[in-house]
Amino acid sequence: MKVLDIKLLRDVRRLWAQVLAVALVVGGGVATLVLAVGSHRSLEETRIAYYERYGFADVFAQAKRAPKALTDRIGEIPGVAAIDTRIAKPALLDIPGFSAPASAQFVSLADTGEQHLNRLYMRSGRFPAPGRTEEVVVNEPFARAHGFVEGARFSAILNGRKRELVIVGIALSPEFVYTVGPGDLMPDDRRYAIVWMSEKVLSAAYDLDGAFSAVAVKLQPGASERDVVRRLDALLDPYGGQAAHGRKDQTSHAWLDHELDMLNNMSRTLPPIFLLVAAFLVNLTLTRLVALEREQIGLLKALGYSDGSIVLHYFKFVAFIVVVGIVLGGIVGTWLGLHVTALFGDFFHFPFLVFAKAPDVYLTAGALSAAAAAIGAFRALREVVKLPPAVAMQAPAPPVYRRLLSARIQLDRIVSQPTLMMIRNIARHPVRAFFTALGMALATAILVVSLFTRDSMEHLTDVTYFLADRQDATIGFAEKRIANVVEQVSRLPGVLAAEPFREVPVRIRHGNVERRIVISGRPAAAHLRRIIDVELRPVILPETGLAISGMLAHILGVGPGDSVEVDLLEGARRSVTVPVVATVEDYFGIRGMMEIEALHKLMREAPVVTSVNLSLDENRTEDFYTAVKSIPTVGGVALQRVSWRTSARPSRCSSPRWRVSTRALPA
Amino acid sequence: MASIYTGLAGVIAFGVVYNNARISLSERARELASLRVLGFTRGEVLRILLLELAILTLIAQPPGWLMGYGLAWVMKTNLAGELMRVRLVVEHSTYVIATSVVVLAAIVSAAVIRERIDRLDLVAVLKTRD
Amino acid sequence: MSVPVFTAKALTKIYVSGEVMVHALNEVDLDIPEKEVVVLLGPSGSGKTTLLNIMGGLDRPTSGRLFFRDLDLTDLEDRELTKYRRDHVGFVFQFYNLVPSLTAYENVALVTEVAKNPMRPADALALVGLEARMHHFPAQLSGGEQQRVAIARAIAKRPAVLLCDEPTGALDSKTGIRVIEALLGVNRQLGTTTVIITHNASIQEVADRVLFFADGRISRIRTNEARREAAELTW
Ligand SMILES: Nc1ncnc2c1ncn2[C@@H]1O[C@H](COP(=O)(O)OP(=O)(O)OP(=O)(O)O)[C@@H](O)[C@H]1O
Ligand SMILES: [Mg+2]
Repeated sequence: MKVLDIKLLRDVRRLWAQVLAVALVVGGGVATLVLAVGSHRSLEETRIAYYERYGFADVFAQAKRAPKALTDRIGEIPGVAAIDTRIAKPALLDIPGFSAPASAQFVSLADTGEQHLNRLYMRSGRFPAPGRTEEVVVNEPFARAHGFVEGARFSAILNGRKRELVIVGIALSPEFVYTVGPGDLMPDDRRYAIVWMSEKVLSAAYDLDGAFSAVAVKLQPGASERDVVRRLDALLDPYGGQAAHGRKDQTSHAWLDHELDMLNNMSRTLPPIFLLVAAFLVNLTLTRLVALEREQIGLLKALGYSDGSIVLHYFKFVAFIVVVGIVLGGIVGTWLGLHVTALFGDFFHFPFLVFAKAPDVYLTAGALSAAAAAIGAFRALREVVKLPPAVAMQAPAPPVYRRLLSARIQLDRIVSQPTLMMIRNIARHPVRAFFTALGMALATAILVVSLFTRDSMEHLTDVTYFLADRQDATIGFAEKRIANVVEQVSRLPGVLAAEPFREVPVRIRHGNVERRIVISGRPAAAHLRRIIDVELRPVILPETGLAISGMLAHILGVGPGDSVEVDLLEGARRSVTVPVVATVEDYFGIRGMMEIEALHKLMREAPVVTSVNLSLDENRTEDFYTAVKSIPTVGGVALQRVSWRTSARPSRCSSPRWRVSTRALPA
Repeated sequence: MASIYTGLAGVIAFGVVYNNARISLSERARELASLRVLGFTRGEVLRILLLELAILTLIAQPPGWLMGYGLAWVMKTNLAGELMRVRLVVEHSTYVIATSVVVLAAIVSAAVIRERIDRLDLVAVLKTRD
Repeated sequence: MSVPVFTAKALTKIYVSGEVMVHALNEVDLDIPEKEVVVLLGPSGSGKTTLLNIMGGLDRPTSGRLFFRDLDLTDLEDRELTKYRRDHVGFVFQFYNLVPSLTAYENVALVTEVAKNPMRPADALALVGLEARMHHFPAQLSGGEQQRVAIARAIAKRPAVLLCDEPTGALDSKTGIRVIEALLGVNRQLGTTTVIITHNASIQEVADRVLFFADGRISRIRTNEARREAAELTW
């Protein structure tokens, strides 16, 4: 072995603690990138594979009652590759030993046993046998939340009639990866289920023989979703069709998309920051570490070593450190990535996981770290190598000390000698002191940026649950109801106050930008479900006109005073022009808000509600639960406080407040 | 996820602070050894070095908070989407935690340095010119 | 008189630090003939090390010329200067300058690895009587022993010129004499031109030529008709 290489090894051993510390910084940067990109890609690919293998549809539509014969006409729409018509209905559940009202989405299973789209992945058990009217398949999260296995029984109120059901299979579906009950803001698997049952049985229960209430469509590659949606709307319109929509507006997909988007955004934002900061710090550190070798570099030069071979020697030293860091960071990052992927995979109940390989990530992270280190070493070497050996071999000339302050203030009278030396030393190497401080400042900064999501999420939770959505429960109806239902509901046991709420799906448009949103109507000075702007002030809705989310205003490019076109996707299905009277800087979704009376007028309808928001007497919740379960028209009950307390997400902290904070941002 | 990032940020912070301290020690080993020979006690020599570390660490905090806030703003802006937006809220406790981690790293580094200074071989440092 | 190895013409080195200008060398003219042993004497700060550094290609003069044989050192580029040092110069530094993370043997090997016709490192160490301490690190050696490693490192490449800055400064008389003997032996066997800086006036007895330095100038040159052997020295 070359003597210089022996020196290298000995130096590495002598400086092991520092070598390790620098390697850790490199590794930290590399690990974040590998972790973030790796887990995001794995989840993304898992989702793609899941959708692919289980035939997740592209376009979805609901109708009140569409004849089966329509199926062929839908199939004739250009661009449609496959169709699945189904019956889908919300219903209340009654689960033995579980007092809180739970609800479910009932979905029919073709009795031929052949599913085209949105196929189930059977975790266990089997499909309902023909003729067995009580047999159902439920989604795994619900089964797991209640500890249900095959054979477990519960009942449901289907079309006003109570039915005993028995679980014969437990399944997952690409359509219901993310299941949030209507009115709820977050998943509560105990209180919301997906239940699949025989089409025959379900159609009999809802008097829908020979008809369907939902359709899912798979598009041919390259087909225009917009055109298919338009034609589908036209076909379904006579049958009480509600606007067809693409995946973008499918709840499960949208949320999954959002979660993955968040992950992606995080992986695009945080790791580059980390990596750059790490690279910068490595650069600083190695510059100083190599600068310490000044005298030895001088000696090597004096002994006749060429500049090239000296530079190479120190590059090897730096390369060693960086390689250790990259390998360490790669291993830890990969491991964490797998861990996070598994955690999220579990959270989303993916039936399988695809671990994406990401050689380019390793390369990028490695190359960036290596370049930063090499530049650091080079900066130091350039300084030293250009000195004549005689100069380099001497310790740097004793610095010229200046008197601090004026000669008359005798500093050494005030502070002790060591303190004075310290102050002088900082003053003597201002650049070095600056960079040292900068390094530590950056260390603080990346800690702040990795911690801030928690604060922001907590803020979001506070605003949502303590300022905006202050209702304890929301009763949602399967169909819209005359507004006097609010009166009835307010007389239920345990109800302290009740407020009407009306939602209308619409398409909102300005110029050629269009979004599908929901306009909600509520009393101008709603007390329970309020609108809160970023200044944390409750928003009082004006008597006419539309208020929209700031984000939506931004997307559409409108402001107060502008008008937007709105296609009402319900009732008379008119298109109207509505003035935007306010924008609300809110946190969730993009939405439209109106005073409820104004909304009725816009719809040209008598006062109706789609849900009622309630505040409950904490001591009488059980009475309330019992009472609400006996109302046949209730489609679902959201218990915001309850799900708020029990929701569990892949999270980093056990406190419920923290857990809830991680709701939408995978924290 | 955030906890993982925070952990990695902690590792980086630690590496930086420790390296700073160690390199300062190496850069000034001879000067410090000379002081010891001149009769300064270990404590006094340690104080020169640690005071410097402490002052630089503390000076670095406010700019660190500012930069952290700036980076958080960048991230918040990146995270804003149609389904959800977050407001840039950074609690005081976050600054406190971040600073605590860095200060803790500085304290551990100081302990290492202290041990190094205790072992500082006066003769060897002054004898060999490396 | 044979051809000079070094010829200096008005060689000047000025150090500027702040407002003070130090004339470390002030228009020095000088010839050092091939194969001679030359001793530089003079008070501290008189410019001896500065001259040696320039002759060794470790530093550049501010003005004037210095020739090694017919090679003008003052004109050389960095790379050529490196080659000159590697091929022709053995240097013993005033402060030893060993690599602390390498053993005595390895410190010598550092040079023999890049030299053209070197001795074996062990042989070079034997010449200075350190074969037993070959595998010790500098920190495990006394000042004098470190100095001898430095000498072994300098002679191991069989250089054309050997430049020694106070090679016996840290040594007792017995080891000092052994070191001088080793230097003279190399000079005798290989005809190496040897320049020695010393504060020990008695060493001038072994030289062919003695240069007296004062204030950056050569104040006097003495030539010895007959060199004394190292063994005859006393100090
Ligand atoms: N890098 C430098 N910067 C400024 N002045 C220097 C530098 N190197 C040497 N000098 C000055 O040049 C003069 C000659 O120095 P040199 O080292 O040649 O003396 P010397 O004769 O070798 O002394 P000694 O016997 O003490 O080693 C001295 O006054 C010294 O202070
Ligand atoms: Mg000298």
